[in-house]
Amino acid sequence: MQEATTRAIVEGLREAGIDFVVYMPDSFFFETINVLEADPDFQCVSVPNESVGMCLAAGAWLGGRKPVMLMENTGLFVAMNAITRFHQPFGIPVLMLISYRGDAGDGWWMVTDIGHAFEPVLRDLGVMYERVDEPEKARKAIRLMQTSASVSEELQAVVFRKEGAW
Amino acid sequence: MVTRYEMLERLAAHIGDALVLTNLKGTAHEWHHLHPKDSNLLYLGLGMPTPAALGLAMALPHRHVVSLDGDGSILLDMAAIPTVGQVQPKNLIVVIFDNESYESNGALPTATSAGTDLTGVARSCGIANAVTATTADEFEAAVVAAMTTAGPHFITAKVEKGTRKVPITMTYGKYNKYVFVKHIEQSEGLEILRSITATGRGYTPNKTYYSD
Repeated sequence: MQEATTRAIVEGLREAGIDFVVYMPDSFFFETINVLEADPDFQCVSVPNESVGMCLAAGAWLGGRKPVMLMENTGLFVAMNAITRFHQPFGIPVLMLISYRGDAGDGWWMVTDIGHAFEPVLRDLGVMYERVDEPEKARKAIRLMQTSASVSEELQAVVFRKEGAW
Repeated sequence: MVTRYEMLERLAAHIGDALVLTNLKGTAHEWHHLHPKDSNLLYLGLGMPTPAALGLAMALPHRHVVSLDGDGSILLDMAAIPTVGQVQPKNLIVVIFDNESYESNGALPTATSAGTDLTGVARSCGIANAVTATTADEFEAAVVAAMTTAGPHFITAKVEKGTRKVPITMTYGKYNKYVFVKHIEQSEGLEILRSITATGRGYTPNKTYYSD
């Protein structure tokens, strides 16, 4: 990932008031996670799967923090039970930053089917999302989607397209 | 063997102003009957109470947070246990009511009936204060220790199958959430539910939105 992308994500999170970062290690966000871990404005915690991560982020929100969950799109499927049995019926807003495996141009055969299923599943869940493919769009989308999450008390996502790895 | 209800009675005597997140069904019904407070968030699904309680404990590190979980629930996603061991929250108390069955849908056996030792799992995940209680007195002693010493604490409470017949007066998740969060706002001096701000995010007073 380009340094400009990392900077845009971190500053977007700061502008959005995010102060609690939950992440499942992921190659797209690797540099961003390292920068966030070193930044005292963000309390970070890594998790062994995205379901635990989404529940942990929900608990942090209940306690007054502004959480974000960083994950690959495969993690959405891991977190599906928590999303549909906890976040949605209770109305817990968590901003999700999701890297788009299986997007056009992704050169790994194993993620092709995730790519097919990902956006239809987001739509079926009723999760609002913005697709971004350049740093400034990402920065703006993070701020806007966090505002939407706060006022709607719903999950919102910023989806990071794969092309060129930015 | 002791009932979960008897153990919950002991817990209620020591709970203070701790925030409590509960598992589904019997645990939620019994706890709500014994301790109907705004500090309860009830009816979290399988695999969810403990990681949610961990996040809450991290957000409010000065306040006790209690997860009332079950063996079937924690077995659904045991990844919560090493995450507690990794974070080491001093204020988190995890109670697993282990009746060795999926009781709420017919009581088919869980892996703990075949010997899975959840306390052993917790210890091996770095939670040093992990104990198993098989009597109400042992459970109460574990609760008192958990409320008076630094955690994280993990208590496996071995209980018999069965749920006390109590009136079910619970409500919807969203309503429970608002009551719970409002309680946290008032007791902690926080502002969490904030859809409109004076800074213009979402709505700015006196701004003309529609010119026609």
